Amino acid sequence: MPPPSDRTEFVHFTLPADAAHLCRLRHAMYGFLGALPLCPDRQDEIVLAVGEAAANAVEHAYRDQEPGVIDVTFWTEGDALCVQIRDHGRWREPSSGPQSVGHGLGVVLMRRLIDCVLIHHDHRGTTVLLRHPVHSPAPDSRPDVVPGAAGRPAGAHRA
Amino acid sequence: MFALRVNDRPVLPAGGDGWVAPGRDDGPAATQATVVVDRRDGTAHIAVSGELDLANAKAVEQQILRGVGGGPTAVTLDLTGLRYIDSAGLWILFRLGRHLAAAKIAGEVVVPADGPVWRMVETAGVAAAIPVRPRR
Repeated sequence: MPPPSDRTEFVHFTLPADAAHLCRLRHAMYGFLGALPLCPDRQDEIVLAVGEAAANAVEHAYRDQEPGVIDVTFWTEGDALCVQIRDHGRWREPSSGPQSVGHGLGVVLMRRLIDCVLIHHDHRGTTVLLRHPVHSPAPDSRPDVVPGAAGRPAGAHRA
Repeated sequence: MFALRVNDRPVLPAGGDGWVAPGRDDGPAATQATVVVDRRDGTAHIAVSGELDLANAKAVEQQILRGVGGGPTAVTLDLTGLRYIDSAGLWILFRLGRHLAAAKIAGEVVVPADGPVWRMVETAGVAAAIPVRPRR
């Protein structure tokens, strides 16, 4: 095992803003999160919130225009992991009422699942930043000794 | 402090400032769900397994509504085999609850007692629209 590093790393994917790619995005997310000291419930919350942000981009950002992409960037800071979901389309205000689909409920769910959710939109597109605190393991422990942190996602979520 | 690592290897090469696309090993290419309808004695048991998101929500809802057709006295939507649901899937549950209430058909949704489907059903407050029963 290489010595621990305090260097921040990040992963960036660019996906077509198409619902057919949501499945691969979340399986990739479970793969990355499985290496971090997070219990399965926290992993689920992060993947679910990322899924909502990406689904909003798929459903709303490029409506009535050329199909575009979603940029997902995932990185770690000293005590947090962050996921940024960015599109380059147009923001649409959530419509009110029970018939509204996606958007309204998606944003509510993101905010209930993750403590820190920032949404910024301007003429260049919409950026959703999800920030989740992560406690470092003690120097002599490995992330996979955290109860429940290892194993399950790969088995439960991969085909 | 920790660095993002997968299998004890850095996700990116040293100095990497990188770009990784989800690949073939990152699970099935498209969201897959199976809907099985079992009708007997005037009740409909509709089991949805797999994963449910924006990609397949419309198709799954159509199958569920076919299962509800024909005037059953009770409907059970069994999601215990479902591993993932997003807001598009949750809307199916809200609409089903309204539809069954309007048609005076008893309905319930059975969900896994933990995991992402339970978390979403609970977080979204689906029980306000249709009774929810967790099952281990």
